[in-house]
Amino acid sequence: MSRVVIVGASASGVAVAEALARTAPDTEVHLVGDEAEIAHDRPPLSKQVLAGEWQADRARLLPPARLDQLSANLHLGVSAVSVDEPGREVLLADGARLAFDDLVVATGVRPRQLPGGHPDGVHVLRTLGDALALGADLGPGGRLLVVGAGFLGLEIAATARKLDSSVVVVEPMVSPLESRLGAAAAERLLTLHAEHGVDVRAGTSVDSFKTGPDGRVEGAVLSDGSTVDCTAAVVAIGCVPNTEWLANTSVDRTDGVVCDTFCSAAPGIWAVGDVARWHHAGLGRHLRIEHRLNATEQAIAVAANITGTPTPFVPTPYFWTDHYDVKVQVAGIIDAASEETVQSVDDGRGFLHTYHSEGRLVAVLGWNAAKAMMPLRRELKFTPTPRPEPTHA
Amino acid sequence: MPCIRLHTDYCIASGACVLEAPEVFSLDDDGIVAQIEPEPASEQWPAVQRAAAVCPVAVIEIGEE
Repeated sequence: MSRVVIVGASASGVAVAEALARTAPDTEVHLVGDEAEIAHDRPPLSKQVLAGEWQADRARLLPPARLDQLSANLHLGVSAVSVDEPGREVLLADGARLAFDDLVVATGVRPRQLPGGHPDGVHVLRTLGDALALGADLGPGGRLLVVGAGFLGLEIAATARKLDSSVVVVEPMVSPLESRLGAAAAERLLTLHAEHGVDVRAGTSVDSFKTGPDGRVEGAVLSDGSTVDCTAAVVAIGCVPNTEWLANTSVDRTDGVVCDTFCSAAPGIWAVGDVARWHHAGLGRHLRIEHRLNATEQAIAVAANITGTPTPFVPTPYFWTDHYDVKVQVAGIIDAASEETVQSVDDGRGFLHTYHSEGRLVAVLGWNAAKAMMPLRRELKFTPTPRPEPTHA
Repeated sequence: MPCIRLHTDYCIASGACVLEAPEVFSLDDDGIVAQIEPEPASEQWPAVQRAAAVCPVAVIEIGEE
């Protein structure tokens, strides 16, 4: 019986375990997670959970019925500290050793912090505990400083406005989001936030935090010399892959776990989700995608590659982000050189953006236009040809 | 025969199910999943299984009738 050890009990790791239970029930699966329970799904943490609209239970990745079907051996509340690659064993922090035939790296990423440290009242948002702690600091009279105008920072800004906190967003880039959404959609999203009272200070960064006598954050000094007062802050400036525990292996850890087209990093070692930087055969380059759908799709692909004939993983990247009553969805990859066209749909309530490169459709963006996007999303599908030979598997 | 149950209050309009099984699932005007084939034929069930597996919020539940 084949033995698979999955390290990381969040979206991608759990999805590998579920896929193996479904397609290869004879596999002995071990799921290792450093949180005390299986992680909560992350997208609701910056929205419904942060707003207090959902109880945490509703954001569980696995309701009890699906946990029962998993039939995996759970090792929770313990982290993996190293891998004995020739000996085919994972060493856990409690001293246990787990033998494996295949190892799946699903350890995800952690929030990047500002240099100089984060005083009390300065949050990050990655786990359920982070969301509950930040939520406790939001509400009428609250003044939130958001560092970083990416999708996470702006989703938090929208939730904070809903809870009647005032919000200032500080962002070093002069044109935030433009590289991810194209110029027109980025501008429309920033305008939407301005209309909701969010003060976005593009082209500035935080030089230092100001703290009160109790050590708690009271404001920040910005790079333009101005100051912002706040009652709490959240730093959303990207993430760092959790790969340190693989230091003594042959795995290339250059910004994630570097993999071949099959998501294999070394013989019998695979990576999935936010941590995986794999070679996308359709795009001809390596990608590391920190988006929710990729975690599931990549997990299903890796489970199939472990148990069957390895097939290149060539998804069409997709993400969504929610702000107030607007859902933005992007399929494909928008690059700065692509030509953007915009049309309104649904009597002007939504917009459909398309992006062409050398005459070919490379991405589509829907602004409250999920249905209208679908025919174009089908055009964006990759076919995995020619079929490359496995380099590791 | 298996049956499909949709937990639509969780649907986030990812459209992943429609890409996997376009003959069985569609999005309505609000972007919420709708089942357009009430009785999928046996050859459609593998696609339905893939759609259920890929949904990032597990909207599609496949049970026994």
